[in-house]
Amino acid sequence: MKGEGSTWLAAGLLSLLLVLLPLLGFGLLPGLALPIYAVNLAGQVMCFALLAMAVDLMWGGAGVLSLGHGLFFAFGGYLCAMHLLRSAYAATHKLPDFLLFMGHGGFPSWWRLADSAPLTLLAVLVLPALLAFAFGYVSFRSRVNGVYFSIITQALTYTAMLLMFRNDTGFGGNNGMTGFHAIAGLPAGGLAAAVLLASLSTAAVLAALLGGRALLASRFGRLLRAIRDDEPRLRFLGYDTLWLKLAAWCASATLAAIAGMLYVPQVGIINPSLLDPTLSLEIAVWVAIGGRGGLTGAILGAVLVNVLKFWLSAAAPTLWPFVLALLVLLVVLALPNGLLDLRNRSRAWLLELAPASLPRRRPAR
Amino acid sequence: MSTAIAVEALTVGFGDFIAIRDLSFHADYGTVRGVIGPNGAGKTTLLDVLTGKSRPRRGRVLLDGTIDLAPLDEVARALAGIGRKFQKPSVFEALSVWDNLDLALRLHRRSLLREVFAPAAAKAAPIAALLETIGLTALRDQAAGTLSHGQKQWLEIGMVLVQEPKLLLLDEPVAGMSEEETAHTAALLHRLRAPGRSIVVVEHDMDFVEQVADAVSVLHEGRTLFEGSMAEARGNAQVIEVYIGR
Amino acid sequence: MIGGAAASLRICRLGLVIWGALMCLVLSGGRADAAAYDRARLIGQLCSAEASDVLHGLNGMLAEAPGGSLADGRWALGVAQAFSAKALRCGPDGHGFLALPSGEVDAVSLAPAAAPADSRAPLPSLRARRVLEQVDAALRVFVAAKAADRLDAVRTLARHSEGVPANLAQTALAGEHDPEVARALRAWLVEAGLHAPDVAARLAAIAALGGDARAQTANQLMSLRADPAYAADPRVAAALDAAIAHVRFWLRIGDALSLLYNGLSAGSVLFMSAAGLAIIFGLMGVINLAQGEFIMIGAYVTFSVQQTLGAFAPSWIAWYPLVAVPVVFLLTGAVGVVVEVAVIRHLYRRPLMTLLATWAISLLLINLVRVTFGTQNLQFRTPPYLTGGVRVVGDFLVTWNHLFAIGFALLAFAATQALLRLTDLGLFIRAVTQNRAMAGCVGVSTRRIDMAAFGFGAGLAGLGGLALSPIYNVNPTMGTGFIIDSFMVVVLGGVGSLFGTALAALGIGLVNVGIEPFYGAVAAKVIALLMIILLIQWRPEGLIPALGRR
Repeated sequence: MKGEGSTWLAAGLLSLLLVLLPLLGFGLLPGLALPIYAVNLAGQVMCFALLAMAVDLMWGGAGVLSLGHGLFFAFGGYLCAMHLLRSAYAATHKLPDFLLFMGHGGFPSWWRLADSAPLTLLAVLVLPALLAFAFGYVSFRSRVNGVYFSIITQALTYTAMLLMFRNDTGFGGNNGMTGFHAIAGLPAGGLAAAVLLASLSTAAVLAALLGGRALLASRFGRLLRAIRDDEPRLRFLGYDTLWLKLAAWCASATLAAIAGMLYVPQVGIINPSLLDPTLSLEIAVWVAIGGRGGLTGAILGAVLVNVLKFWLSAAAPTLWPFVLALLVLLVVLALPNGLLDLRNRSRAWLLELAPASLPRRRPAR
Repeated sequence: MSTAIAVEALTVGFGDFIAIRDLSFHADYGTVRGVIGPNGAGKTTLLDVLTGKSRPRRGRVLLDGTIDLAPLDEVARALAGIGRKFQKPSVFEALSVWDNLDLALRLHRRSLLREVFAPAAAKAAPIAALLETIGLTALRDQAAGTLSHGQKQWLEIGMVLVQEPKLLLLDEPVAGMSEEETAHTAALLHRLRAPGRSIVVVEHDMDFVEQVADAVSVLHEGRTLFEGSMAEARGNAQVIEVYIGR
Repeated sequence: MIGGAAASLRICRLGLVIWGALMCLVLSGGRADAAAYDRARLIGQLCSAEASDVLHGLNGMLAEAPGGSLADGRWALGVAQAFSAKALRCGPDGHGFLALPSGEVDAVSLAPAAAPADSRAPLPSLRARRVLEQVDAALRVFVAAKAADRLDAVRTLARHSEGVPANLAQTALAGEHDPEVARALRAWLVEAGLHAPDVAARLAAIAALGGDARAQTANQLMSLRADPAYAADPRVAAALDAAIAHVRFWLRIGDALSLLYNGLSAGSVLFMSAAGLAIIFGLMGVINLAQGEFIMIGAYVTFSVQQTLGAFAPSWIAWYPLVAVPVVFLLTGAVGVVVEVAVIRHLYRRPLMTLLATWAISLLLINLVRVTFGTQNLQFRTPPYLTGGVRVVGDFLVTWNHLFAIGFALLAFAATQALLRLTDLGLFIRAVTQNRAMAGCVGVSTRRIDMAAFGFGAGLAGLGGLALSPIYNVNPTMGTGFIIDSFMVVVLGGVGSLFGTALAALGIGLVNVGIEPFYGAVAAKVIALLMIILLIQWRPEGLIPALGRR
């Protein structure tokens, strides 16, 4: 398994961040303190990193590109928002605005299921995976793959967006759901909640990285790579690839849902814009820019692009789409496997400079 | 000698094009059957139908004389004991030689879950033995994509072998091989003969077929032109006319 | 108030016209043939000091309006107008005189005669004026020379029909040649018939209404059914039911046709966008996410052509949609060629990366246009021949702008089919689509074919943008909505068959348009997506799969 070094490097950096977030966030180190928005930003970027890993697991792992992971991300986010709204109601007895607008006198009764935090967590772990299973089953079974699969996932999230934009779907329509009161007992928007959520997100990324690497190094991971290389051949070896892909697909969806669950309390709102096909495409772009297949590239890409986005959208908003587009074109044309390629390339250039130059080989796609 | 695979009145077509027309064919356990014929005779299509890659328009394919293969997909056929080496070497290039064989070796045909979680140690002995057989022990940790053409052919033969197939289908196993490699492959095939195994070799190299096959079928334009020994085939006027003579 | 003043001014002018006609009659001497009116008695009544006499006389005029000869009608109209213009002079003996601009004449004989000095000019009472207006209109229906005058008169009568003789409309209809006036008369007849006490008249009116299928008629009939006076008579109720059923039937036919028509136009636009996508996908295995942006560029080029014509050749501006055709095709095609050469060809065999690259290109194009043109919708000057339409049946309206899109798509289909079937380029495209390696072996320059096909697909999408510029809002992000629907078309239609693409485009256009009014646009999208996923279960290669080995 290639890229062991970068995995340990990434794991080390994540652990460091995990230690530093509470220290700097609460200003425990003399003279060094992070403002709350920086803590919050770090937490959000970690959620995007988790999301990117979910996409990379499928794309880098099995060669299946999802352009609809925003669907699972939003699914986790909506479930979390429901729980937060229910607990806000329990504390304040004030109905959220969107229910009042719709003329409801109270929450629909089934929302009570979101009262319990463990039950909500279970729902986040199970429901998006179930949706992924249903969609994956019909798609993989009929051998929908490649570009076809990517576009159909995009159509799926697009449809979901249209659905959630409607007010009568019951989840706040285009205004979304907001007005969270407390997160795990800590006041929403406060420093403690921000540090807790950012740390949780970082821990989730770290756990997903280590778990994901173990998974990819196992026989299951090898089977996924075999699917990426030559799926029909694997079937002629007697493997029903449907179930292998489905397993990875559901795991990937769950990972995205966890990312959404952690993301929503940090931004304090959820609305259908998370289902916009553009977000789902951007996730793929992060992975493409960082480099596929090793999970560390996904983290790198998500962190780089999002930090750049936060900075540029404030500094030069009209410039950002151009920068993003050109970045994508540059990476896609010059660095077929993303920024991680830079390291291999620079190594190759060094070798070429040496007198006995090695024969040049195009990098594997 | 019982029949391993029997094909009856098979017709296969793509659109307006008929690749195989009313073909009958069989291969027995314990034998090696050669299939020869000019390009477009339907040889590869025949293998496609046997493995479930293509669906026939008419006709039956029976395994062991009783099992109708029509309802089985390619996965089920592979699990039922049909192994195939493709014309174009098909190995998993990103995986090492060892991992290629590790995936090909099935310990739990009935349960994918148990297969995925089978301990690597349980597969080590048979894989090591097979690596000796195909002569790739030294390259066991190398990515399959970096092997030479001949080495890929052997690796793929090894992958098919490790499945322990009842019916072994080889599509041009020596295409692109040097004479030495071809001889090596022929020797390998001799060792593969077993009473419970039927081997079908599709090949253009006639000397190779004569060397390994007990009997040959000559296909021409989707039909069986001749069945018998290679020596008889060489003397058959029709065969000479459509194939050998040119 | 201003509108009212204008209307009365118009009526005054109309009056003057008739006034002039009467003068002609007077000057030519007139013909005093068999008088339906007892002219002297009538003038006597009008000149009476008793209000009831005046009203009686006017009602008499109204009742006689349909019966008299042309000359009688003209005379009566002249008298009525003189009366309302205070130009009727009444002598003390009850003799009447008309004060015409040319001099005074005897009201009965029209012979020049001076009114006695002690004659008075009676002022019609408010009630008399109301009847006078009806008399004026009723006479004009028969004697006015201009159709517009008669139409105005019919409409006035239909508004104030109390006391108007029942046979007036029928008689007028018999002598009427102008179709518009006749239609107005028929509508009035129907309206009058509906409220006639006579059951037969009601039945006839209901039947007539039933023959004119519009949503408005259906509402009218429905409100009648709620009227207890109508429900009481079983014959009328049955006729109402029959008429409602009839109107509803034709309305439904009209609605179905409208649906078909709108579906056809939606499908046409989809086809224009999907055809290029399908050709490129078949050829290179690449989905071009910037296809929607080619549509957008096509619309912007169309706009630029319109602006250029407006600046340099204003007389040609109405023809900008046609002038733009070659410009749009070539410019958008050129953008496509640049995209292919600069990006797509370097990504051969990496379809997923191509997907992201084309997305980046779409982002680039949207923002370039946004920076240069702004984000607001473009204001097109839709030429007169693309506005409005013609009503066919029920409320089904064939609108010219949609017809333009449909015709355009048909032409594009024919042109594309001709290109694929009749030209060398088409032959090469089909060859490379079926077997790239083999085509390359026999000497087809696959790179140039890719480039040409990509440019062609882009140009086609650009023409799509031109075709929908009179229908859709044109702004930088207008293309983003197309790509998903267009891809659905490609999935449904299968690759490598233009016919399949066209069929699928129509199907999806119809499904979208057909479901929308009942369950909303969102449901239409959801259902279309579900149908396509189901279809893939059943026919993974689309409706019309390409032939050949894969």
